[in-house]
Amino acid sequence: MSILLQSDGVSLKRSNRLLVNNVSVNLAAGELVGLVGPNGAGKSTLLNLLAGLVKSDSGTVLLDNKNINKISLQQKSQRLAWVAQSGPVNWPLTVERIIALGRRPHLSAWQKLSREDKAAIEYAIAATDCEALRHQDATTLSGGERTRMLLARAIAAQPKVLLADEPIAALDLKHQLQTMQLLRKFAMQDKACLVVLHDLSLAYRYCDRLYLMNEGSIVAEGQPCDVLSHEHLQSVYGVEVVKGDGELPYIIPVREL
Amino acid sequence: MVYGLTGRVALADNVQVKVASINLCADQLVLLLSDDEQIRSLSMLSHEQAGSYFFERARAYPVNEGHAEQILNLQPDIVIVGQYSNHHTVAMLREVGLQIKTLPIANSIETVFENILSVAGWVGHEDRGVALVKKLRHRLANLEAPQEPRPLAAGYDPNGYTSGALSVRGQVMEYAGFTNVAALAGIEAYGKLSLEAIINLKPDALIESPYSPGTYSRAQAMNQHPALLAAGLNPHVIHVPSRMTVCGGPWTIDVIETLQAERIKLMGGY
Amino acid sequence: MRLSQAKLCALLAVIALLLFIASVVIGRDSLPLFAALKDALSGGDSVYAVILTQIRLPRALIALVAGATLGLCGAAMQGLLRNPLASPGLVGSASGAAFFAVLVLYFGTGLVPAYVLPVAGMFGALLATVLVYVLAGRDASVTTLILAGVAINALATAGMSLLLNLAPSPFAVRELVLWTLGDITDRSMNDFWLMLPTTLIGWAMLIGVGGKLDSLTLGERTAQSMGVNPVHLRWRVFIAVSLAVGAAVATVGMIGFIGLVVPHLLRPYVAHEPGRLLAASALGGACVLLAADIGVRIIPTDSPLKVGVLTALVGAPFFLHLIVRSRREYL
Repeated sequence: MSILLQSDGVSLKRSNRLLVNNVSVNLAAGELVGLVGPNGAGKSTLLNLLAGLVKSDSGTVLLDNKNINKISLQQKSQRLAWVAQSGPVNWPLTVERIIALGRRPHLSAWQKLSREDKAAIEYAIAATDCEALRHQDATTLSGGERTRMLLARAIAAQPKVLLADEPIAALDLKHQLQTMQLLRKFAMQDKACLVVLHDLSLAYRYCDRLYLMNEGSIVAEGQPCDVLSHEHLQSVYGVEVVKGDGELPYIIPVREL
Repeated sequence: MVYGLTGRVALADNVQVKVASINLCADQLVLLLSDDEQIRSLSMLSHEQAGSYFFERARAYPVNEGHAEQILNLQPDIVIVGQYSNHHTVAMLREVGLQIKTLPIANSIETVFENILSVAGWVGHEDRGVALVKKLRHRLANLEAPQEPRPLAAGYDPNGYTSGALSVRGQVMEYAGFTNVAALAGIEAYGKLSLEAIINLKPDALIESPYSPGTYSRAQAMNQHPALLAAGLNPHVIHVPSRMTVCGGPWTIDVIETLQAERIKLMGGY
Repeated sequence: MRLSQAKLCALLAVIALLLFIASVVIGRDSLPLFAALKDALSGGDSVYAVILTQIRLPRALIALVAGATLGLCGAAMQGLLRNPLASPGLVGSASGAAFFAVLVLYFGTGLVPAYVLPVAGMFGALLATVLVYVLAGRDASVTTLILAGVAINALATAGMSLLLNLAPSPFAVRELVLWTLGDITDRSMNDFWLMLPTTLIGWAMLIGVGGKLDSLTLGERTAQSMGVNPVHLRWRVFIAVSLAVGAAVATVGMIGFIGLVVPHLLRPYVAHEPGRLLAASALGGACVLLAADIGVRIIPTDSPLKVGVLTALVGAPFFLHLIVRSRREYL
């Protein structure tokens, strides 16, 4: 398995607070990896660092074994897509046009959409169940619809690496499942996906590997059944849970400790 | 007193200079010094009663809005512009080959005379200018010598605007035998006189010449100000029509004579 | 509503061309057009030919170019700041240009050659831009940039007020105030050639930013992840707008509302896409300024109306209407 994206001891400090502390993670082709942890653990910041959107104070991020800060923006954007937690949509473009923006990294300033571009857009629309929204004003979407649209935009870019920040937080149950399956399918095409999740049951069920993050550091990594142990959940989240490790794993918080 | 043209004898062998003016003060001097058939166009303001001394005579002539295109259409031999005329227009007129004469702003009685002589020369009637200035100088010299102590006066226009010694209106006050308080307030040319300064300087007269006549008089209202009443001041208000003060010309000497008469009346009242 | 980009731009270009021709044809006084044209083409120098080629032609050309600049820069600023209320004036270069122009008027009216005024205006625009750069710093956020622009605006306005305050005579005040109103009357071909290079550099810098502005719809971070360098883009648009608007203001004075209203008006016809809006707004801006400049010649007023006053008079209520409408939509 080839490593598509990895970080080597990256740290980020902002106003004397260590947001990300010496974190080393890696994403291999074919993997769907979950990043879990309580609020304020530094998950989104880590994602920003991995996407090369923020420069780390120390440590390096390698995309295809090249320092991510040394790759041109265009090349980087063709290889890696990043989906914000709740990205703004500033103009009332149609959903279709927003999703089509995903092809921009592959186009020069004046180039029109080719047949392949259009096919990628159509695939993304279908995969995220955005067909019915296609002609709607993107600023009028609900939170969940918007998340799906923004994910579709990233899928349309056909990146090798997808970094998604809480893509299912605002979704209804059906679309949660649909999205997790979509991410799985995405990873299976010899690509890699790192997804920040709060739903531990779905993380357990769909992810190949998990990173558990707390206070800026990775405190556990590996198979979901190992990472989501009672001890880890108690020490990191401070809650007692009921869980099942079977075919359909579940984790239910019971009470605060 | 009206300054018509006396001895209007156009010399047959003399080609008349055709003139257009885009400046109010130039309009007045053109009307004063040239023959009717010389005048191609005057500025729009020349028809305004408030600022134009010869507004009635001016209404016999077409006016312009100071656009190059209009002026060019009239094909004048010379165009008289003001020092502060739109410089784009002036540059354009010059560029298309018209002869431009710039009339400076008159800041003294002496510049008023110089302007009269300049315009007279431009319109080809130098003799008229020389004769007129000679007559005006004579009238100035014949003014009654001012008596000491000179009464204090302040030029007072809306918002407290006043004129100092380096202006026609300031000089007019001096010639009329007043002491202009603007100098005491440190104003040389143009400036603002505050209510405090007026109470401090105690002028005997306020000379107003607001541009919109017949409306609310700031100088009159000033007299009603409680501070002024409390200070025991009740300056004599002298009104001069603005068309006699906006531009300099022979009427400027009329203003001096009027103010002198007012001064004598004021002093007699003491 | 559903007009392709090419059709929309072609339509606007035709309107602009018709207005351009109208601007040459229409004047306060009528002109025997064919005679003038014939004479002008045969290189004659009759009064009519001179009026046509040296007075009306530069006026129409300047209205076309300055209008296009205002529309284009308005659209670019709104796209960059993702705010429909942004205007080209925000960058501070317009008031910098105005301040330096007024400075020249104040110290040397009638004494200096005609080209000094636009040159000073452009210098002022550049100086304001450099000051904003120094003030905001290289990595400035949009907010810092706007604040720096506002600060420079305030400084330039204060400078202009000071000059008005200290003006030697009421006549000088009048000239200074009238200049700031915005006017295209009696500009010459020299003025046009002077404004053109800086304007073209500004326009050229905006070529190809459309796609980046589209990406910016999803926020700076997402745009960055899509291959847009927000810092580069910011400065590119900022400097381009400074150059083009500075040149326009130096030549015609302050003409408000075109940069604000034209992009607003055209946005629905380009499906709200900031990239497509650029070209459409440039053409639309040219149409509006040409029309307004024809308007000031047709509308009978006692004192000649300044085109900047007309655009503000028409633009302000229209803008209010837009605000009220958008409030109804979103509340």
